[in-house]
Amino acid sequence: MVTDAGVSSPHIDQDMDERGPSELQLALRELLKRPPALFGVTVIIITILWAFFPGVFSPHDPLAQDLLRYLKPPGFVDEAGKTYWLGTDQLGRDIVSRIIWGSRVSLSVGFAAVFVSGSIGITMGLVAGYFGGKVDAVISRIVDAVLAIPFVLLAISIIAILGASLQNIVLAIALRTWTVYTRVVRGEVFALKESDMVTGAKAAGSGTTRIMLVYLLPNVFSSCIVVATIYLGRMIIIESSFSFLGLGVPPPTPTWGGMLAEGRGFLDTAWWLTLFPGVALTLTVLGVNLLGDWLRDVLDPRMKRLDD
Amino acid sequence: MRAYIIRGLLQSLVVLWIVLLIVFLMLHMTGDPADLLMPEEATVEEVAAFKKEMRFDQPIYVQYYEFLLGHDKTKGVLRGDFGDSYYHNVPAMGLVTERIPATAILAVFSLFVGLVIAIPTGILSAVFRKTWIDHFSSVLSMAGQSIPNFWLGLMLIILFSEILGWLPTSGYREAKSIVLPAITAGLYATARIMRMMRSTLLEVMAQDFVNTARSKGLSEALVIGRHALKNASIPVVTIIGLELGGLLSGTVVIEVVFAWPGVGWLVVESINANDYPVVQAAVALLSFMFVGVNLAVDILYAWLDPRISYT
Repeated sequence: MVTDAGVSSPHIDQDMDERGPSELQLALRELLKRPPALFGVTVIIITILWAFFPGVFSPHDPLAQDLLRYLKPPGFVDEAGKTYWLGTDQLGRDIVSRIIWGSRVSLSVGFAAVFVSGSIGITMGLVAGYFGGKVDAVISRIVDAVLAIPFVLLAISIIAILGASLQNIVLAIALRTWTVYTRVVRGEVFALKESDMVTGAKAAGSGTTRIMLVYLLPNVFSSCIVVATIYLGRMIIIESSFSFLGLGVPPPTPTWGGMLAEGRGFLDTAWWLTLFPGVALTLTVLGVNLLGDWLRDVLDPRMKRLDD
Repeated sequence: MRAYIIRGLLQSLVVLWIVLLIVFLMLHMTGDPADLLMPEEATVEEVAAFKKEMRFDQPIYVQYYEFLLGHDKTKGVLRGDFGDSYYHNVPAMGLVTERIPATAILAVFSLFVGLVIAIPTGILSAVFRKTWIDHFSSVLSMAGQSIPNFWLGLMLIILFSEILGWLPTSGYREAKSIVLPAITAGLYATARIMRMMRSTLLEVMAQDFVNTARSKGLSEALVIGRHALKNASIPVVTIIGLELGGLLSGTVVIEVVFAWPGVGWLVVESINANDYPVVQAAVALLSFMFVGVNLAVDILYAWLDPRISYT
């Protein structure tokens, strides 16, 4: 899909001469010039497809156990002629299928955590930046306090007590990461609220909510997208480490971190149990980070100004 | 300066109070702590007796007061007493403090690994900007951000312990057993220190006094070594301090991977054993250390940089 639009037919090119290329077309052209970002987008698209349609991609049932084929190495072919490309685990389950199904938890926790922390953080940042003064002081102190708490340990304890579930993991992660958005948005709103655009809107009688939603939010959005992308990778790593510690979405649901925890018992005999889920995890996070790097260059207003 | 320190101290105290409040509320988050702590097959009478013994039958503000000061005014967390471990029947805090040295040793060695890689690479990539050294270091930092450190640890075990047989997979007794955990945790800190080193040095090198030093005929090595690095050191020292704080409290997963007997591993063990006093004591103590290191870094920063205002 990406390449189709990027290479583009002569028909579309003619259209562009008349109307100028659309934002999307511009973005895709830029993307083709940056192989790392293109790689990132490809990886993310594949992972998202896995997460949405795992049944289509996975060759076997990820939960089907068979002790006759336990711990088989990559490329194993069973009596029925079915191939297990990345081998099987200690219960005879197919690693490929479990990796494909495991993308669901990683991506849903990642996106949900980004969404929840982004919503809280952007709101707090808009409020702190727009009102300033005491409101800002209170919110900023809360942010400082949250950042001063050792996060991993506290998150682990909270999940341990509330119980390991998708919601609790997202909650525990979001409890801290909202502060990142608040800091970014607050700073930008401070600059924006003195702009002619906002003073004009005020003079025209716009209310506070309207100014925030119509004038401020769209202008801070691109920075937030950059932050969100960078943090999406971190959220995915955090989720996998929780799963690794047995505090993630409980089995039998396949998770990449959970697969690594199981594989840990077989490091001396069955390396494929730990190698492949980790490769999937690393490639996904790398893809997200490469995309984030590129988005920062494209969307960050400071970088943009330099280009202009 | 004094006002600055006092304000930092007060803020740290507030943070610690919040942490203690969360630690206290932990057991109450699901509603009744007795449900959390008693086995499912316990009878109603047993649960009632347990509640009475643990004083869970008291109003929550009484429990909070006793949590802080103890109900016979000799114990309580403000005196460092988190009660006895349910599992080992010894004071929970003692179990935690005896694990502190292992965690501290790992943090210091990891930081050392991080510095040995990050400082030279950061300097070289700033000095030779946009050359292959710079590109290499940006690849390294991208990898550092993308590889989950516990998986890296598992891969290092497969390579150096299982295949090559050079290093032990886990343990604490031998000196060489720290190598793999320290590398794993250290590489994690490397990316951030390296980027900080590079960007700060680039910033400093663009300033007038560096040009002045060059124009009076100093060699490039002297310009960078004597003038630029000195001025770039303050933010780098700050981030090193913050990384140390992070390492002290954040190597939980790595300790589990390498069966390193530090506080992080103890927390995970205690969570699995429902041994909450130990979890509470560990979270509180590590928070205390984390906040303390951060405060020390703040003060050090103000002290090192004469330009900072203390008001």
